[in-house]
Amino acid sequence: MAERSTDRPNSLVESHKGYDLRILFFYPAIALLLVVLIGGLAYQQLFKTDEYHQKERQQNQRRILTPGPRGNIYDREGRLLVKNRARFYAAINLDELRLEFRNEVIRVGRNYRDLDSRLMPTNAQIRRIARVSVVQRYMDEVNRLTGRSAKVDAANLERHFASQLLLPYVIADELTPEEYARLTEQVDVNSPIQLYATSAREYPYKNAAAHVLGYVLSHDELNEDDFPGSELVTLKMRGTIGKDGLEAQFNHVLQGKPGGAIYRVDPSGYRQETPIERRLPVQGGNVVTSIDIDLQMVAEKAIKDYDEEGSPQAGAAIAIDVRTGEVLAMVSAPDYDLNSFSPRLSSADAAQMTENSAWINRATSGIYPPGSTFKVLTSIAGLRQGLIDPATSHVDCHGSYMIGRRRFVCNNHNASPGIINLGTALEKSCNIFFYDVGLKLGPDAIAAEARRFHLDRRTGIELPNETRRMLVPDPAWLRRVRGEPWPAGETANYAIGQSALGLTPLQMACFIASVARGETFTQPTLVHDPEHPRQQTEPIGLSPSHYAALIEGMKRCIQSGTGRKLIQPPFNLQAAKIAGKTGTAQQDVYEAGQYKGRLNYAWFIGFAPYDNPEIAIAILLEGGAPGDEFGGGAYAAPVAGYIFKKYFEKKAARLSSPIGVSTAAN
Amino acid sequence: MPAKRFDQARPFLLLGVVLAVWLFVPAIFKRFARASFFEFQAPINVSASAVRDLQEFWALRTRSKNDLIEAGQQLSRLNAAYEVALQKTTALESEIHRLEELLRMPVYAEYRPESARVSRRAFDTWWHRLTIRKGSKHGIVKGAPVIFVGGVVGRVAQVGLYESEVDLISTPGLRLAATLEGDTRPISYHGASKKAFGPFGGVIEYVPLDVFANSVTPRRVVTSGLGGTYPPGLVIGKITKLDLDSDGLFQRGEVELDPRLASVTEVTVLIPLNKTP
Amino acid sequence: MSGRTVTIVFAIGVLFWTLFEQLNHYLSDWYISLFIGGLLVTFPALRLRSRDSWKIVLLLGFWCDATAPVRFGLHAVLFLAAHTFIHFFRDRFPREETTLGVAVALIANAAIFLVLTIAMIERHPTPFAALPAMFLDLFMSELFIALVAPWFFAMQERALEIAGVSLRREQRGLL
Repeated sequence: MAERSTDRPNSLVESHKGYDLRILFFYPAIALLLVVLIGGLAYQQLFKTDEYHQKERQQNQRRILTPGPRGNIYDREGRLLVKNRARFYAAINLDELRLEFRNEVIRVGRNYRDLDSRLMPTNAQIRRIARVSVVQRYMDEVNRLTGRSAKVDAANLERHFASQLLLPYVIADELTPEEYARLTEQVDVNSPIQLYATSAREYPYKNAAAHVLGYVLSHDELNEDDFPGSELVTLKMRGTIGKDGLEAQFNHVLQGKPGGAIYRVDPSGYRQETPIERRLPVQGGNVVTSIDIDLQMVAEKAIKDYDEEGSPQAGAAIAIDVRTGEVLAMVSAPDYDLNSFSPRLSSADAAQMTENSAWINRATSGIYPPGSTFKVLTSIAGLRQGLIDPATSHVDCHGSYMIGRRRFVCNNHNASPGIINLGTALEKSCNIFFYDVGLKLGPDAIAAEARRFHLDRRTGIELPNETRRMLVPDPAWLRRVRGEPWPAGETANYAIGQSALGLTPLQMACFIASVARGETFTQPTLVHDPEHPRQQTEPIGLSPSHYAALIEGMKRCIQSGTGRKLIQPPFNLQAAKIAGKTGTAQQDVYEAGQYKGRLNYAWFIGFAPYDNPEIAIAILLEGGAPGDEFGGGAYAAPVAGYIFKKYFEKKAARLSSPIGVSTAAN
Repeated sequence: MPAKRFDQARPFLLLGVVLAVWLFVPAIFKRFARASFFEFQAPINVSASAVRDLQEFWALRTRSKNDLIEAGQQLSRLNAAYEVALQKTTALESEIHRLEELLRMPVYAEYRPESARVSRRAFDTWWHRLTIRKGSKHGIVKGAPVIFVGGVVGRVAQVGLYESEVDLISTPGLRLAATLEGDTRPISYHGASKKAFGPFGGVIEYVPLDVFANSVTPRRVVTSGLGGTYPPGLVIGKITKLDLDSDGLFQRGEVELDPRLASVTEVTVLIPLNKTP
Repeated sequence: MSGRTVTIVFAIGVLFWTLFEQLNHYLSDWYISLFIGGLLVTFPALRLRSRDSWKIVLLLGFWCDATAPVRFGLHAVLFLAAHTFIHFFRDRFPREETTLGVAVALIANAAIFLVLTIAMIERHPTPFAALPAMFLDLFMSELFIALVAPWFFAMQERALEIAGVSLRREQRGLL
């Protein structure tokens, strides 16, 4: 020990005198390295602060978005047509079960070790087993109270755990009021099992106005524009989006504003503390539709009364306020119960709807030949061209009309053949009269008149999927599409609403509303506005006497012609002063290229009162099978009769009530 | 120096150790300890309550005979009125039973009423409890509904041999499935403690949007009978305020409880006869 | 000697608690409730040796826990924590002074009250609406403690003296 100490110098510090020149090279090198190091640190600290801060936020914070409830849809009288139904569910927040998961992992691991260490699963497997086990325990608790027998879907749980840890994991959905009450009362307030309510769409009138109101489907995308933290990892609870009808068209209004919260999470993704930011969801705006649910239901019932066993009656009915263009009723049959979409449509219901071809809105997307209802337009064209003089007779109808070698028939008024003028022609729906007028007009003039009434384009109603396939044919069209010349006889068919003419019931409703106002176009709308101004479009272009003659013909159609059912029991609508026109259109039906016969379509268009029009109606009913007799006067007019009847009953009630009187007085 | 520093920290370390030990004490031991302390307190409470009864007795003794005669007469009138009401109730009950049998409807769980005297009211800041002078010896079971003349009092939270603790419906954390009088839709009721100088209150959630109530036109909230604890139709309180909830789906509001709850002295425990889940 | 101290102080605590509960029973008509946890802790923590005082505090905590709808042991732990703090700092102050005792009781009571409030508030559906009533209760409790604490301390001290337990050994600077 002593020797060793003598070997060393007394001082603890060894010093070397003079420099080794080699060391001089190290000074600048070290200085350079230090400069680089300090510079790097300064760069990271001063210039990349924001970037790191951003990364830190992204790693440590999660954003949860919850959809806002949708707004309601009301009818024109303030009755709720679409609302939100509470959908109760029980869920657990997995991130609150961290300790239980950990304890369960230990327990499961111990059990496996006790059994046989060779069967020992991997750690990841044990963690999965533990999670399922813990969640199943809570599910069993809910099962015990509700009488259910649900089991944890392990794959679903894992998916939720991996990607949606901060969202509640649903363990019992669609709780009935009894189940909800039991859980409310018997689950501790501080239990991880929490009761939540979300909104599901409810349609109190079930099938009523199904195609107008539309439906919603589940949707992941939420409008998160003004919610902060768009750069953060975001978890979204499922919302809904309008997929048809007003639900789709006014989705931007009805859709609520999503709420949400930003949470700080630990490296495992578990939620820490209370949210950094929280915003409550806001309900979407309401829509007041122009539909009058009373008229709607009456119209639907009237059409459904024709239902046959196993095959619902197909058709459409539209009622329009002549003055404003507001649609009072729009029926498309067959329809479907809108509630079946909430929370989700079953495959059986979907199949049934497909089989009935209930998806299509026949009022806006069904293309049909208008048949004799088109004679009103032919009349207008004839009057405007000076080809029809209301005071004189034009043709002598004996039931047939020869054009070239082709024979055209008129079976509409067997009872009184003879000299026909405009009034009689409209009253009896005489084909011969209109064949004659049509031939004199020519197809181009008829087409031009139809276009003047906007029958060649969409009406622009606020509904998605209004068809563009309506067709107002003319020789140029036939040449362009088929490369064929326009056959002479085709003009006769065209004049009575046949040929290739294809229109939607809504177009015909707008057409008759325009005629009622003495104009050429009615812009239909499904939005109710009490201050809606009276529509004013291009005048019909008829002299008052000609216009009166046209209306007279339509009046006679109801009073003594093909639409006379409206003034007979059970309708007795003499006082309603209806002017209208019935029609029975035919369409050849082919199946697999083989001719199957002619399918009839029953039509009615009309308005009332004719001296101060308020309501215009168009009805279209599809015949059941090719060859079936299905006349407009017998089938379509009664449907209109029920709507007219209800409308005027309501009007009378409104006027007789004290409020009605005072409103009228004001 | 280090020794001194440790010495200073020793009480806190000890506290930490005690806490840690307490966390790992088996639950059965804690339950036993709680029950022991509870049973120790029971005779004290009962004695205090008996002394109070004695005070009231002597206080009543000071009343004049005229007062007593008048009170007796009032009581007779009240009894007569109750007798009529009782007969009506019996007739209605038998009619309901008849209809239930006719329609083959499920019969609600039936209860045996057990009257109990309140020995202590503890309306603390954080919870509201009553101690009643009946326990498991009298058939009281945990979770049994407790009622009084004004409706629901609460439910039995803890049962001793001769005494039980009852959570008042104003206790935060007590939740039950309620409904509005004349309605069937279940709504959620939570106890919400008390306001400064009263009264007791509760909060209701998930009230449908078509319900209207305010302090001028309040609506009564009653038990729904769907939750499995309370029979239907027992009065909880009245809604004095309703606001649209933030989700836009429901309303939430405040319920004012019967002010007589603050001075309740007699309650009835409804002991379920055939307990269903 | 130690066992006797614990028994006497615990018994007096229980007696006081019982009287106080009767008071709360009567005050319930006015929707007021008092809390005196801090007062129960103060005397043992300030005046007794720690090997006795912690037992008393623990037992009194359990006594309070027995009928409260909280996890069994919550009061006991809070009382014990308050006791530890008071005991730790007591030598820096004239702890045998009644005024100091009252001040400590007020502070300890408010602290335990607030911790209990934080622990229990999550059960409350509308926490902010409950704050006025909570503060009223706290204010009344503090007022009550300020009034009765001197008497309560004196009663405990006198009871110990009667039982032959001297607190002189515990007085600062004498031994």
